[in-house]
Amino acid sequence: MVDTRDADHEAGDLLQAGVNVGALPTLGDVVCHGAQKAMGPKAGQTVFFKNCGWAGWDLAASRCAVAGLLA
Amino acid sequence: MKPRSPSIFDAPATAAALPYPALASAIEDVLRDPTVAVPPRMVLPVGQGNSLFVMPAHDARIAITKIITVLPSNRQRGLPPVQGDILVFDIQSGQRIAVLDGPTVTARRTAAVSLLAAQKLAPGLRGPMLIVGAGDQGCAHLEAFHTGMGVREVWVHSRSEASAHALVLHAQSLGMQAQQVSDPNKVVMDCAWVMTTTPALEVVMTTAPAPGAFVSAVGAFTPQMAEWSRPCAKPCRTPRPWWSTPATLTMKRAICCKPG
Repeated sequence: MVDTRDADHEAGDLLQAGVNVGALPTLGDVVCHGAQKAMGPKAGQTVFFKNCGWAGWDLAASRCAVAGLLA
Repeated sequence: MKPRSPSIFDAPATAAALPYPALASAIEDVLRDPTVAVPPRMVLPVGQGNSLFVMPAHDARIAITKIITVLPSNRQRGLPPVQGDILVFDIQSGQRIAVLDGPTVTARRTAAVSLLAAQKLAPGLRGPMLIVGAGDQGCAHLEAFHTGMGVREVWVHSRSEASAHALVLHAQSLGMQAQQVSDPNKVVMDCAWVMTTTPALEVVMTTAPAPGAFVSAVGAFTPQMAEWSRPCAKPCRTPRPWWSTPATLTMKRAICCKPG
């Protein structure tokens, strides 16, 4: 799994291994479509999560930090 | 209406405002929020392998931009490898609400993203953790998985003995069992959790993790970078099509220099 679709051109580990990164699920696919319940990793399968970074994660942190400062 | 001054969060204040479980939950909320818009980030190479990152985003209430420099070699000079700030605006008034510490947000939100992925895909996993790379990201991942997944045992590897030792002491101060390892490839098969948080200037992991393990690979963020050898990073089977769903977030186009 990758964190966002931006990983399609950033995930060096996977790109160098010849992985079709665009075919991998994102964290958003799993969160928003409940995909992990039906089709998530089965027992014994390794989860390789490539975490490249995204400004949306900084937005989430900002929401957390300023929650008490907004009117 | 008087203009307001932004609240300045230094590194400890930023950390205190971002407990990992709440942050993982906020990250999930962002993924479900249709008002969130995030253009591609700008990564401007500034020479000698260093970069300036400019990362804007907004939702219905706030607009932010993170501006950080990333200098992987800075640690050798005793300077932080990541420096900068996040500026937070109220989009209804245009006023600055806050300035957050960039390196603290970067480390904590990245670890919280790994934590959210683990909560979704490996909720029942138990066992020791291997951390490769003992910088801010290694420390944040240690804290996040201790708090969020109940990890109690950790092995730490770093090119820097001093960094590894400091992270081991930190883990012990949290009540964890912790020790340094000289070769992460020798212990990776014994670990349930594997976090690679190196500068990704060279491959460090050449042994595949144990079946059922959860790996978060953090270090590499350009096509040229890698922490894991090619066979380790290759999936054992072709992904099935359950995730071929429409994009869930609005991706606005913006000026973008592709990294590298």
